[in-house]
Amino acid sequence: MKVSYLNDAFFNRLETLALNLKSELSGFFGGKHLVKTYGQTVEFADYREYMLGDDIRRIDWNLYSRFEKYFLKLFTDERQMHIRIFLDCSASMGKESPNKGAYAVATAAALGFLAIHNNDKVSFKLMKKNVCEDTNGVIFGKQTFFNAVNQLENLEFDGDTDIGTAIINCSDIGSSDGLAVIISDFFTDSDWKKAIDYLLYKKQQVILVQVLAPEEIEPTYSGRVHLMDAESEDLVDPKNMKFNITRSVQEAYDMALSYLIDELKTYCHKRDVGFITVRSDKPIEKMLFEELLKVGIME
Amino acid sequence: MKWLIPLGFLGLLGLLALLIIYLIKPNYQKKGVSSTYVWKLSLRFRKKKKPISRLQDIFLLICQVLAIVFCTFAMAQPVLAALSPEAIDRKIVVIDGSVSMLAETNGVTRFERAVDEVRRLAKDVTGKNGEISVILAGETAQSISIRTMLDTYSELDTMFDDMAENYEDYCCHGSGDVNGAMKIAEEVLDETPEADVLYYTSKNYYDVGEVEVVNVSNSSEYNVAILDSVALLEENYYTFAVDIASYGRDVDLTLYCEVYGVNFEENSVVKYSLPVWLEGDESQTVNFNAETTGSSGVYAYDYAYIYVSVDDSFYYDNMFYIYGGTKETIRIQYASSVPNIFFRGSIMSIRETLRSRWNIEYVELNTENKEPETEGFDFYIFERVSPKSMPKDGIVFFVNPENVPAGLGINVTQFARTGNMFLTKTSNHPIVDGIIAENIFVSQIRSMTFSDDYEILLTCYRTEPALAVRNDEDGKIVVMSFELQNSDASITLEFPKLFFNIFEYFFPSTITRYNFEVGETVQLNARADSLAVSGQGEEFTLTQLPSEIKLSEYGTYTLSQTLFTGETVVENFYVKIPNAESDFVTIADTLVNPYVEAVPEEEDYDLILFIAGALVFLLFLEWWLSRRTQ
Repeated sequence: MKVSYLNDAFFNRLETLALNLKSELSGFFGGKHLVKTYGQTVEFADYREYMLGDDIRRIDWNLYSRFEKYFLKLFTDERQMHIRIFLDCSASMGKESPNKGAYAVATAAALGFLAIHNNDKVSFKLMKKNVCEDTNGVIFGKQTFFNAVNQLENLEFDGDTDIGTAIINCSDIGSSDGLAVIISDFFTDSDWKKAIDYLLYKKQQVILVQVLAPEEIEPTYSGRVHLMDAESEDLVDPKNMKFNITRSVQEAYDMALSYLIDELKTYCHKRDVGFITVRSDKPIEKMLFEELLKVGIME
Repeated sequence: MKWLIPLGFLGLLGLLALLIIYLIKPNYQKKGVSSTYVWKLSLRFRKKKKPISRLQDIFLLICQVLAIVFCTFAMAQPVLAALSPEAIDRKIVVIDGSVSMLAETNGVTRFERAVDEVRRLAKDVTGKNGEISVILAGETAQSISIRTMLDTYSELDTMFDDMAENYEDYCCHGSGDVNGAMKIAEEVLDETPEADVLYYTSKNYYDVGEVEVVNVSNSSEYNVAILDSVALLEENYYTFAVDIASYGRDVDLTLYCEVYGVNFEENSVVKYSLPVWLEGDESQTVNFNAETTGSSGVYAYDYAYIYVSVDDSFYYDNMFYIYGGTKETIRIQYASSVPNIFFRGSIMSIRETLRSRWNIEYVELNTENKEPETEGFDFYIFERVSPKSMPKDGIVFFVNPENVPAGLGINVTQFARTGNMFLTKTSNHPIVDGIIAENIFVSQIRSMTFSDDYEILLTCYRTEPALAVRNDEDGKIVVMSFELQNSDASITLEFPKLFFNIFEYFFPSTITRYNFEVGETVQLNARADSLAVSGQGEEFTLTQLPSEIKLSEYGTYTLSQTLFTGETVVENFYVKIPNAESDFVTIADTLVNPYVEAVPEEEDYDLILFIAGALVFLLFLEWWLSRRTQ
């Protein structure tokens, strides 16, 4: 059954929010994000002495009359950012748990909407195997955005994904021009750390959103179970596992999950990368208004 | 241990079901998951398996198998079998010793048949190492043997021989003491409550309870019985009414009646006979009188002998004697200077009341015209007057005597105390029994004194004797020191009662009637100091009178006493077989059963609770192991 969070009411609730990106980013002209560099806005920022090459029309003559020195009046700059949303499209994201996939899509759409709403550009990077598909290109404007969202709603999760390779191979990563959001469950053997490092290298602000289904956090099955991995190709695929799930096995599972999340959290924390873990059975508003606010990406 | 429902073991098929479940149960249930990445990662965190946990699956299987086995046990209802009592055959035999057991068929009595059957039973029981007790319900119950076993059987066999040979000594002439026999049986049952009680008798019962009744009667037996006979005085002639019945058969017979001493003719005998058709089990009354026999009437007789000549099974009730045909005459003389109608009335009242017992002749004379007699009477009443000589042949009753013959121990004064006086009872003598002395008002009383030979019964004005009595060898005298004219005693009930008491005291009836049943207790009294009783081979003398004797033999009993006048009075009465014993066909209601205290039966010990407990434990263990496994 197709699950979708995306409707008018959902987007209406997002209109009060905005992305709060780092001021070190350079971005593009025409946006709404304040950056450290001086620009052409009307908001005064600072003075500096005139240097050769400066436009003499920007000399503050009042100050010259007082100090007999040439000072230029500097103004703040507002830039447009490029929000790249890397969405893990592996089977683990939605084949067995449609809610999880819909939740991931809704998260991507919400972030995309916030960017569009603040005159930023958005790219939905669909990570499949070791490539990033960008079927909609760079999205600017709500009309184009909603067209892209409609396509996202029909997204099929299949196969496996090598997050690291897919992001490194991505042609449109940019440099210091915005936010990169990786939405995945990070249940992968691929080197996701490499992807983060690469994005940081490209001076992108990075956020990791780990989406987990409830049964992944608290498995309800027990006994002798042949676990069929959604990404497996057949029964004998090594990804499939036979387990006699006992209490001790469940405890080990909990510990393993905690270990994975802690590893993600620690790695991100060390690199000033935002990281949140969300449950797909929790209201998506809770994720937007609590988790993202906590990591400071939302204001 | 035994199993109440062995079919419950079909529950073991559950093991088969368990086996099938394990066979068809998939080892691993397929479960699709998003990713097995974390599961693989979890392998790093698995704790090292404890050795015991390797056995958990085995334990689980063992628990399940045991649970099914215990379920099966529960369905089969296991019990620990109670200890069964020793399988010893114990019999308590009660042999009826009633007179009806003497009924014969071909010369063999019921009692002999009963003894024979009991003998066979005893031989059989003791031969199987059992024990037998034999109780005889004769006139009084007695135990013949208690818990006789094989080693003492010979003694019992000898006893059986004696019983069969001398059966008349073992049977009574009345009804056997079944209650007493059952009491003895109770004593035996106290120790061996499981013993069977058998009752060998000829009677039938609607309800025999727990006792097994063995009827030794023979279907060919019948009994013609004279149940009762009585002489009825009708228009001064006697009718001899005979109740007769035949039990077990219709009989055409002749009933005989021989009357002796007819109409005061000594040694005279009149014989009557009447043909009688007796319909089986129905009694009828046959009357012998002038009308039915076509002979002259009998207005007096000595005794009558009723009998039938029939060859029935039981001859003890084929005869009957009617005694009391000639009543003793009591002559009373009432002598007074002024005869009193109250005396006359009281004497007449007694004559009517006791006419069935006494022939009372009454003579009243006025001493103004004639001297009172001093002999020839049994009871002399002298009112105001005194005889010239004291009568020697009767009771003397002085009423307000002006003087009395010397030597009587009575001092009569001429002083008469007058006034409104009430009497006081000073003795519990039978003469004043039932007399309320305070109800007797006296206006004048003669002052008299009495020697110690007299007992003062009533007094007046503190110590003035009003009534005194003497009853010894030298005199039987009653003295009343006031006249009825000077008292209200005659118009109340006190004087008739007093006079009746005086008469009864000096003329007590020897017996109250002339026929009884065996087993009855009869009260005997006598005018003399002693009473000789003879009958059925027994002779004894009663000196304590009145006295009671129990009638244990049927037949005629003779009572003999010698009065103080020297006259010997002889009376007879007849004791018959109880009608209940004559009736061969009657069915009694309930047979008395010995009381046996209910001994709680050793019950099988039910193990279901333990099985259920074990089952619950196993199910809990299985659940716990499953939970641990999962």
